[in-house]
Amino acid sequence: MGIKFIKAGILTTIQDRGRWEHLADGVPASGAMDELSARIANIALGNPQNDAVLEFTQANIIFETQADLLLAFSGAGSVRTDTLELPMNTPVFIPSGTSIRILDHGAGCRTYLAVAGGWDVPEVMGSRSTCLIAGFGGFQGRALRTGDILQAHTFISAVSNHFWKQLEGHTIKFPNWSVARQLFLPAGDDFSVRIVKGREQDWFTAASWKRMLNGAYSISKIGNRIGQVLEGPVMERVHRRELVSTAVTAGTLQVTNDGSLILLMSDCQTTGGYPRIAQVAAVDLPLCAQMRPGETISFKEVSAMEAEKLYIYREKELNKLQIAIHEFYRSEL
Amino acid sequence: MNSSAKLFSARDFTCYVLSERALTLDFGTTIHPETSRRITGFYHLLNINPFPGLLSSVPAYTSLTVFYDPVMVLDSLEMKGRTPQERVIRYLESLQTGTLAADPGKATVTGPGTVPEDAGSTESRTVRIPVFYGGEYGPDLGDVASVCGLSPQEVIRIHSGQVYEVSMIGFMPGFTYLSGLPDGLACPRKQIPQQTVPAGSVGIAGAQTGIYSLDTPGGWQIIGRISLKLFDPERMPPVLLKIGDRVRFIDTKPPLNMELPLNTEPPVQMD
Repeated sequence: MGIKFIKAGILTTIQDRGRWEHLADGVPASGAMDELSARIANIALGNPQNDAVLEFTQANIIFETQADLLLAFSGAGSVRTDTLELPMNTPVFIPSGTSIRILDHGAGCRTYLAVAGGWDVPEVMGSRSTCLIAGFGGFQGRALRTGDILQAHTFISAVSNHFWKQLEGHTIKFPNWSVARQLFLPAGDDFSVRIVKGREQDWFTAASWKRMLNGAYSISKIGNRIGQVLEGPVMERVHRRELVSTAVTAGTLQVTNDGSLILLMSDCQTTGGYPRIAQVAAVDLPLCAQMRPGETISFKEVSAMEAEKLYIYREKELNKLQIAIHEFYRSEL
Repeated sequence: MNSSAKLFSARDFTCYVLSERALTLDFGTTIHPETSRRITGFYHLLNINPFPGLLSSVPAYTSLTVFYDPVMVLDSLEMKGRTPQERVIRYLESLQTGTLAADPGKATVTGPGTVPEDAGSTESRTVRIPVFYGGEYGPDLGDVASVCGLSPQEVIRIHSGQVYEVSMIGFMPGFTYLSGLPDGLACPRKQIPQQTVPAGSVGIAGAQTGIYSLDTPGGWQIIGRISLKLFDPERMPPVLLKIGDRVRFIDTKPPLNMELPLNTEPPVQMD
């Protein structure tokens, strides 16, 4: 019940919604960078939203199915067999022995692959996410390599089972619907990532803050799952006070001693000592996760209350989506 | 554990929003053992009185950050308030002032911010940890000695003559920050960070001392090494030291020409 990697790509890891119970032990939360896409892939299959998914980075992947599988892809990139382009955000039945390619098509950075029942890796400290820095969780505590075989759980949900029965056969098959992932994301090229003032925002000059909101930043090449380095206007300090290390989290925008910005992402350390100028609204983190080196990012200020409202709205929409898919399955019984 | 009520006076902390999923309780801006004790106390108090949706809380030198699931907070029937943030703040305030509504199914707060005596996790322990000071295990001992105007032996004597307290675990899984470094041993970080600092290395950075839990690049001055595994994902709990633990280092001679074995069983002694 699994897939074999013929080409494993530059950074392919198992992730779920994160390891939150051991932050006090210094264990990073980890979890899918673009959590929205990871959850949509699971929802489309009838999986719980927290099931383990594969996260591919600037995908250039080939894998082979070693059993009949029900899969769902989401996020960036495109997926194909030798002859067919496969849809994303919908369940796809793929017979044993099929070779699948995931290609980076220049837009977005991360592709997600969910399997009915979830990928079968052990839960460590309450999560299946890979903790790269300490080498545990996920698939043997590391990124997948060529030749690795990853298994899927054999127990699948009633909804997954229904899709399976509907689609199974000797060929690839998918339904005529898919989840409109783009509806969850703010549209437009001129879109600005929403930020809330950070605790140490007033450690920086008003002019700096203005420059940050009016300027544009470019995503540096040295970014990773820990953080994105942003190149652009530098921030000037009002004083040289030192921050006593305190908790940070994905979305925290911290300013290093030379005034440059680092946006912390899923694998970030649990505590940090750089002043925090802002916090990216959680609903906009998936957009940040999909940004490629060289792309530009700009910011717009919202209140903490507004960010929380957006978060609750997004959660409600995702839960509605999950219910809709369950209802849809019942209506077909 | 001091369970004196005044540790949790109504003005004990201010609260700010870190993210949609986290609030930070700010206990001040300076590192002080008393501040650490108040934070540790509130951390234990919250752990034995969790609210629906609490994911975890992260103690640091001067703050405690509370992570939660806003949807679960909003769906909870017992929490009062309009928004998740408002609900969590109200809960934390009521916990602090000891006005938490009694819930028969849970440990209840008996007075203003007191920790029930049966809360085993709040026991503070003193842990004695053997350290191999100097030589290949503490390559920077000589530099620290010269910066501090001491002999290496004096640095060892002073460093191992002190009782430290675990004030924060952060930076990486199991990395242990200790407070209580004698002023005379304060020493700036290295100009150029070391490529690999081995797990177990005991270091000094400014006025802090701490122990590396994993092999990692790092800029602390390394004066010795312990043979205990501070972090082990296979072990439960995965970390050896907990916030509030007291630590005493024991100057120990390393085994000659031997690879340092990483013990998993801690020589923990209760005081």
